[in-house]
Amino acid sequence: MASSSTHDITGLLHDWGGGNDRALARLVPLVYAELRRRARRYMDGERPSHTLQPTALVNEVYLRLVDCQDMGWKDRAHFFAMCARLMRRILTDLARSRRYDKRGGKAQHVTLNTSLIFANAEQPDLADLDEALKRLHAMDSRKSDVVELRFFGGLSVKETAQVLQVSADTVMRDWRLAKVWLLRELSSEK
Amino acid sequence: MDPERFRRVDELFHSVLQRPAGERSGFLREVCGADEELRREVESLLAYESRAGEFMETPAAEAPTSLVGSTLSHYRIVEKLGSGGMGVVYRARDEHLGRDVALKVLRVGSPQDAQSRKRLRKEAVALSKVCHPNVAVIYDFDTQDGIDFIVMELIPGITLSDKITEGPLPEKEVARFGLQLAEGLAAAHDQGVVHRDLKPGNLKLANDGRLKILDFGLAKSLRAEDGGEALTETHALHGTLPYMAPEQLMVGNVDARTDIYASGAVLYEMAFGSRAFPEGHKPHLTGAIELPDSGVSGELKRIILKCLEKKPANRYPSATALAGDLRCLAALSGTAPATAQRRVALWATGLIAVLAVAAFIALYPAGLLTRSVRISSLAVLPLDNLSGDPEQEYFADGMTDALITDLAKINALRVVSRTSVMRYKRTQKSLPEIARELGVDAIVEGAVNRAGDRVRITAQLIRADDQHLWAEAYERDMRDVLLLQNEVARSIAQQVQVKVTPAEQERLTHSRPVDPEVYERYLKGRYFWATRTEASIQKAIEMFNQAIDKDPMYAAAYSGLADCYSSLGFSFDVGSLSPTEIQPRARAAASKAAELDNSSAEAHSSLAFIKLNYDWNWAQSEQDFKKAIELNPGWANAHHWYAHNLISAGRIREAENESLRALQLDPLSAIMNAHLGWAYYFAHEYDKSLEQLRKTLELVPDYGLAFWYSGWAYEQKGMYAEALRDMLRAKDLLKGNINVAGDIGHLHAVSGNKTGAERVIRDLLKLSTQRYVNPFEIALIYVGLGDKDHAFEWLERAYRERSDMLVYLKLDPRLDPIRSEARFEELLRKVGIP
Repeated sequence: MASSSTHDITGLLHDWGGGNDRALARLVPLVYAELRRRARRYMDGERPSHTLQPTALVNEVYLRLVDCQDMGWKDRAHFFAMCARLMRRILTDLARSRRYDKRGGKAQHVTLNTSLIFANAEQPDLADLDEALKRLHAMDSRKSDVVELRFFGGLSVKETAQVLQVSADTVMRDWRLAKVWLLRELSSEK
Repeated sequence: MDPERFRRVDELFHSVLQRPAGERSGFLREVCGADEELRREVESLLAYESRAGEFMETPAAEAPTSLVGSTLSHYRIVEKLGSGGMGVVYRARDEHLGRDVALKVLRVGSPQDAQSRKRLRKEAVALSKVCHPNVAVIYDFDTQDGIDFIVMELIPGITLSDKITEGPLPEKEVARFGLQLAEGLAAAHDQGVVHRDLKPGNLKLANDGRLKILDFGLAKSLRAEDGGEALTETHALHGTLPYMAPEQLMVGNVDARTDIYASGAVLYEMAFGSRAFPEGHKPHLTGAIELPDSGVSGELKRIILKCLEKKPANRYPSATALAGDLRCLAALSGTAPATAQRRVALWATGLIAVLAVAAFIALYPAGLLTRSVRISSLAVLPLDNLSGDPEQEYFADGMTDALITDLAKINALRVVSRTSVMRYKRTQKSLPEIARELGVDAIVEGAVNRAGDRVRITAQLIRADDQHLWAEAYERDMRDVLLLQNEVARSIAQQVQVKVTPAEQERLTHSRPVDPEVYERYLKGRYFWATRTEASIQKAIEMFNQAIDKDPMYAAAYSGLADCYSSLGFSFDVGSLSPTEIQPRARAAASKAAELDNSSAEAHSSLAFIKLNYDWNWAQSEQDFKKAIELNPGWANAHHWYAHNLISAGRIREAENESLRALQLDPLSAIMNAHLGWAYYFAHEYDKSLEQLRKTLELVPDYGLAFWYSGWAYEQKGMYAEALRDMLRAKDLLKGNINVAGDIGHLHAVSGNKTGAERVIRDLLKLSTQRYVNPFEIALIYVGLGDKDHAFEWLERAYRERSDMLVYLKLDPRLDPIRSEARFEELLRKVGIP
């Protein structure tokens, strides 16, 4: 079933790894559709609870879409990075649509609400986080990449370091500051 | 901030963190020098450092958006009921007291603020002293893992706010609810507890028609730390501003009269169906309140206005005083039929809620909702073939089957057979739907990718409610494929926490390696055998023989071969060959299977079947069936055939249990479904039989055996037309099945068509010169015709030829007319039916 597109995707990944950005443009919708389809199973808002292991999900998608034999580690890293980005998009969209629904179609006064919610070891509001990450990206893109891979992609420090080709220490430092910065950014009292 | 500057902040942040706490601020001042802004920025970030702990440490997708399924203290959270400004409310189960409670998880601005928590606790303690039917009871207040929560009485019903969206309430209801509100408030005020955040959303209308006040004082104590201004902001954003008294907004001074004001706003809303003060409209800036001109009585208007007086001193001095006026109003408005109707409606809603809760409890036994799940049944969905090569499809299916077989060996686990799960290949159905259809607690799904000598399996375990429990990927050399299967099966067993006995463990780890091609042939053979038509069984024999050619040591293939021969000879399956032709072949194959692998459940079950139907040895047959079931409780066929043994011995209830077990293991299998109908027929439960066969035909529309068996049941009910219709259909579908023809002859005989019956006898006799005709069938027609002598003559012949039909003499209702004969007694004795 995945046979015909498997080779396409593997080829596109190669091309993208080789610096061809147009390959990425073709790749994203394919992977996005698959990730979203799989993620929806878990993330369907009507279910009472859902936990999803993003690494498992990405692995599943990877196995489904990519011809593993032809793939070097580098392409795999690329694939994971792309998946993390797509997960961010999927989850953020989901958070936005939930918020929209909750407000009866009017997306307004939300910021204070989120500030009340967390700082309590809870999760950030994903829609707000997305905005904050964009700001972080403008100042330090690697930190926002670290957050993307770890928080949205579910990668470990080591895996993140491999994808970004930096040391695990660097990832830890980036992660630590990014967390604090985002926490402050998302709290009301900055 | 520009990137350069941010890099500087980053550097400083980490250098400060490396220093001992006492030196940090001095260090920072020193490095920043005159750059005050830089220092403040770093300090500000450092201030958040201590709070960042668990923040974002759980990946976004992994974090449950609710706590459902987890346990706080001894409260197991069952479902989310709603959320509001104060937090999220869940239905939870108090595991100590065995009752359902409402558990509110509070959104605390800063959990480090011990002060606010202390205040909260104090309020909870005070409120817990308020004991009044109109105040929701507080049971507990606790903190776990940084989560503050309040446990209170669970009140099924709707909020007053929901109620008001339907429009204004009749005045008597306004009076009745208003009175309950005032009385509840009075009780709380007596304990020195002020609500401070009274609004329709905090008032619950229980299903018994009672009003309950929720969230006493708590909201305020949480927010007091924010100070007056922040409080206003927060409330404005949460939409509670319209209920706040002017003094509360301006000075933050509250007392009982603040609640009186809010009660007025609530009464107003009940009476007029809209807010007294629209959002954004600041009451303390407003002059006199104008009440709309509507059907509301002057007295109610007066009460509302008195509550809403700007100056506290001009309002009711106490909730008790307000209650007094509302009591008078209630008495004035009297009772109207509408009230009674509403009561009935409320009662009905209550009943539905109770039923829903009962159903919920029945569906979710204790423990299932906690993270450590107990799963006693599961289905392995066909693993996806990811190799991109359609030829590998059988390999993926084979892996699916191997997984099923391995898991089925665990006694504590009911695993749905492959014939039932194969239907879900490439299905569009959702997992919960599939789980429901198969009646299982959880589902395993995954994929297989075989590339050259490497094989990779991904598997995941998903609970029936779609909760993802576990996922794992395995990669091995092709030669280790069996070990890999066992490993996956063991991991799953571990995940579902079933008890695996040491013997089962042993069986799991000791599987003989099988060439995938051989295995594939075996699977195809079992598939063809399962449909039980002569043509498909011939195909199955071919498959098993090919498997044996390739691997002459493969026990299961011999067992498959034995079962094919048995089915060809067995009168209730095909019955086209005589016992003398079939029996030696079936026995040789089954014995070979047992000889090659004495721990093979398939082999024992094949032997047991032969011992029953050809040897007429019930005891030995039973022993072998029991052994087969012990070896592999998941081998549905053993249960199915064991039921034959039990039915023929008249052990109906036990037989029913085995038949049901077989069906549970293979819920979508045509043969297992039809078999249950067959068993009900022999139990003389014809309606149940017909019902089961109808279900079978829904599942597999043209299933000949089901039509055949339902023909028998209709005949016993005296519905001869229906019986004939179904039997003729069966005759069409089961081409060449002589026994159906014989049964039609018997039906003709009992339904008065003597000529028809005699014609069938003639046909059968003629046919018997060319092929095997079971003498029992001819005997049966003579029984129908009332010709006992001929009947016994043919029964005697059936005995000499060891017709398998004699095994079932004891309960076949068609033999009732001759049952009292001594000759029949003699026959039963000779056959040796226990």
